[in-house]
This record gives sequence, structure tokens and C-alpha cells, in this order.
Amino acid sequence: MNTDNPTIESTSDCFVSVRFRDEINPDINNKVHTLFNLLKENSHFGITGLIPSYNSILIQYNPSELSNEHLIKIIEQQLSKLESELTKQTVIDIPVLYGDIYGEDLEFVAEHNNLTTDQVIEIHSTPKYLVYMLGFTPGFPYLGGLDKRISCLRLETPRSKVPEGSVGIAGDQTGIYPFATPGGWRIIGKTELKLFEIDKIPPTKIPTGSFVKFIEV
Amino acid sequence: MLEILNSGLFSSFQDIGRFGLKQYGVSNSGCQDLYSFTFANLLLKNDINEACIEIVGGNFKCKFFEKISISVTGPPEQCLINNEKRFETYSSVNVEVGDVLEIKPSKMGRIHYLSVSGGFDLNKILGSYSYHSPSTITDEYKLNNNQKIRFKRPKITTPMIFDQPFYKKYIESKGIIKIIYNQDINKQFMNQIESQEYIVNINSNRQAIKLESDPIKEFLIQNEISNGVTLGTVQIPPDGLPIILMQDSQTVGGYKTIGVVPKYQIPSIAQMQPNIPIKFQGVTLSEATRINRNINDEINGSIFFKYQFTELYVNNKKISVKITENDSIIAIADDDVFEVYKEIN
Repeated sequence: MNTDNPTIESTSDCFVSVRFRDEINPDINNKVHTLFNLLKENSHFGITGLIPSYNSILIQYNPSELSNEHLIKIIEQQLSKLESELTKQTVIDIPVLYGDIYGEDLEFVAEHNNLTTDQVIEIHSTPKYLVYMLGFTPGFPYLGGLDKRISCLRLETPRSKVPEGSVGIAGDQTGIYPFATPGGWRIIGKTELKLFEIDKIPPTKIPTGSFVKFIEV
Repeated sequence: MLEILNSGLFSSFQDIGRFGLKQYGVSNSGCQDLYSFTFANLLLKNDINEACIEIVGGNFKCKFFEKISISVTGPPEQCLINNEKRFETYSSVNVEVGDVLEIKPSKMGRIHYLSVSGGFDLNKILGSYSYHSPSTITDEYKLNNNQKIRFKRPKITTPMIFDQPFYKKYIESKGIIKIIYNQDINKQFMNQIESQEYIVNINSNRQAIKLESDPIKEFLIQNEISNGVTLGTVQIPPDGLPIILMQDSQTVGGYKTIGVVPKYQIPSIAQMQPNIPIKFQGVTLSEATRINRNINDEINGSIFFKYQFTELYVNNKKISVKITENDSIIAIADDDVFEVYKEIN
């Protein structure tokens, strides 16, 4: 059943977008990351950037080095291999110190959902979360798969500084702050793992398309 | 070494940008006016991607502690050395120990580039010298008063001038923003947005240029899936006021997008002054590609001329006179620039 042919659109003179069905789900996102990996491995002169997201991938190119027509041929060639190459996904363990000074809002999240803090920790550290994409700030993972039993609204007034490594919940999402930034998510814990290192290539420990599992320490 | 005496409104180091890291949420950053940036390095025969100081809003002052050749590009404006020797943008000049350079604000644009022969002595961060304003990872590239910066290999080159009206032709805003529309935008909407007059909001920055006018009512309710955005992406948030994404924008965004400003127009929109009326105008992908190629050919084929300064007294008034290799003489008195004569032979 090949009803999912993506749309290829030249969005400008230096970007082409490949868009799968308008849905947020792991299967479509897996196609995005498989195509991303295929394009990365078969990198072509003139391609200067790839931005995978939920259901699309944006390809940046230098029109002086690579023509739009040639780029579209390269994309179609890689798309033809997609079904046979669907990416095997890796799981990355993230050690988390829950509650206490590390997760100031853990008790609030528990009370809000009529649970104990231990139950919140257990529910949070059970699933494998898919890294749909990275963005917002460098290395910030958009994680999918939070159990709705521990969802919680954002703070009414965001904190001016959320410490680096903070693990938070906002609505049905969970995420990790790679840097100390202002933020309004409910903070339930902290990881000592450095998620983004400027002197490493790649600079992030959790690539898009992988899974994240939180481990209580 | 040089010392920043006044960093002006906002000054930072920039090169062409940081590429290949968008998948990790790191935007390209880089110079906002690629054309002026390129000429700053070309005039000094520097590496084409050598870091320059990007000066927003003028009012910039620095002092040199070594002899070196420098160049300034950007909107036409008289630059001053020691408050007396004047030179124009799109030229290089030699400075002596103790010289103070001043770049004033211009009415024709917002951004100047200062390059030094042989480059500044900096360490690359993630493969680039560009300041990334939304994060703290490149804070050392933001310039503050009293900051001292070392040179890599200070050199003295022959002062050169690019005497073509390149800035006026390709960069200075003509009140038009070109846009390549997305395929889902219909003719009626194009007519509507193109008849609307906008002004640039004063809160625009390296992440985005915000436009002001009557709000667009078509996209009040939005349910877009966040996906990749690019330099020049035109977004319409639910408030109906267009945003044009610039070098430091987020890498993914969830607002409705209607199109993209083509690459060759980015320097021009980066140089737009607030409160001046502008309008959108559609351009096809093939036309934009063709124009981009023509401008690049023109840059690659550009010729610079040697020049030298001399001083004349006319009616007891000191006039600084510049004689260029192609036999034109330009005299500068007070704030007036007037060409005395050309082709004297």
C-alpha cells in the first residue's frame, strides 16, 4: 500500500521540502528520519543543510553549486529506496534525579493528577519516547509518547531561568532543557548528562528519530 | 589588536554562517547582508569567509593598537579616522597605531561590516565565527565596550575602492519585498497582500523582521504541524502580522507560512529602515534563481581600483582629495562629496 507518496515542493531558490502525510505519528516520522539518513549518507555537493521535523524534511542547497532539477532527482532516487531502508531505531538512556531540589514541580504534578510522586516517576520513566525533532533552542528534543495520566499545564508565569538538564512536562509533552533558559514547563527532575556539547560533532547525544528512556537514579 | 570604544546599538562577529547543524536545532546565523560582507573581505584579499564585525545601527567606534589595513562596507556613509580623515564605505584604508575609527549611522541602511587584513584572531565554535543570538553558546562573539580583539596576521595592503553603485542597485531598499509564494496560496490572496502597505517594526532583530499594518484575517485559527523553516520564510501568526525569518530564527516553526523571500533579497530586507513603507511583490522561482546568479556573476567579476589621499586647500578650507587609479578625482569637504572631474587625461 503505497498511498503515502510525499509531496516535493521547491519552497524557495535554496530550499526544497519533502512532506509526508500531515500527521504526527511514529511511522511517518520514521520515514522522515530514514530519508534524512539516506540523504546524509549519500551527501551531494551543494546540499548545505537538512531539517527533519514531524512529517517533513527541508533540504537547504546552494543554487550556485546544485540546480533545483538535479536536487529533485537526487531526492526521488533516495525516496525510491525508502521502504526497504526504514531506519532501525536506537534507545538512549537518560539518568534522571527526580523531585527534591532537582524537580521542584514533581509534587504539584502528582497532586494535580491525584497520584503519589513515586507513581509519577514510575509512569514517566516507563515509556520509550520518540525524538520527533530537535529545535526551539539548540538540541531541545520534541518528545512524543507522554502518558496522559501525568500531563500537566504549563506554569502561569514562566521561570526566568530553568537550570540546564531540567526534565519537564507541558501539556502532553515531555522534554529536556539542554541549556539554562527561561521556561514555563513543570520541572520534575534533572539529568547530569550533557545533551549538547559545542566541541563535538554531532553536538547532541540524542539524534532525531531515536528513542529516549528516562532512568531514575 | 583593536579596542571597542563604542559597540553601538549591536555589534557581533559574523561569517557566512554555521551550516549542517540545523537538524540539531542550531540555525545558520551568519552575516545578514552577505553582499556587503563579501566585499569587505574581497577589498582586503582576505579569505572569502573571514569573520567581520557586523555593526547594526552605526555609532561604532574602535581604536587600533597596530598598523593594519581595514575595510568598511554597507550603506554609503562617510567613515572617519581620528575625526578628520574621511573615507567611504566599499573601500579599504590603512590605519596607524592609535588611530580611532568611527562609523556613523546611515539613512540608507542599518548594517555595516568591518574587516581587517588577515582576519581577527578567534576560535571557531561549531565550525563558524558567527554569533547566534538566541542561545548562550557563542556569547564571546558579541561585542561590548572596552573589549580588545587580536588580529590573526595583520597586513598592510594597497588601499582599494569599489566605485560601482552596487549598494544602491542591489541592496538599498526600493520599498519592495520579493516573495516566492507557496503553492497553496491563491491569486486572490496574492493581490490582497500585495496591495497592503507595511512598515518594519522597531523590535525586529537577527531572528526575525516583524511587519506592521492592518492584520491579515485569513489565518486566525491555525492548526499547523511544526516543520522546518528557512532564512526568508514569511510566516503569518494568528495575529495576522507577517514575520520574515532571518539568520538566527528557530529551525522549526508552527505558524502558517505563505512563501519565502529569495536569497538575493535578504541583504536588502536586512538593511530596511523602520517606519518606511514597503510592499510585497511576487517573483517566480526561476526568475529569482536567474537574478541570484547574475548578482553573483557581477560580484565575481567586480574590479577594484587603487586610490590615494591627498589634501588641498581651497579658499583656506582643507579638502581631502582622493585620486583613484582609473583617473577619477573625488574631493570630500565637510559632509559633501563631490566629484571634481573624471578622466583628467
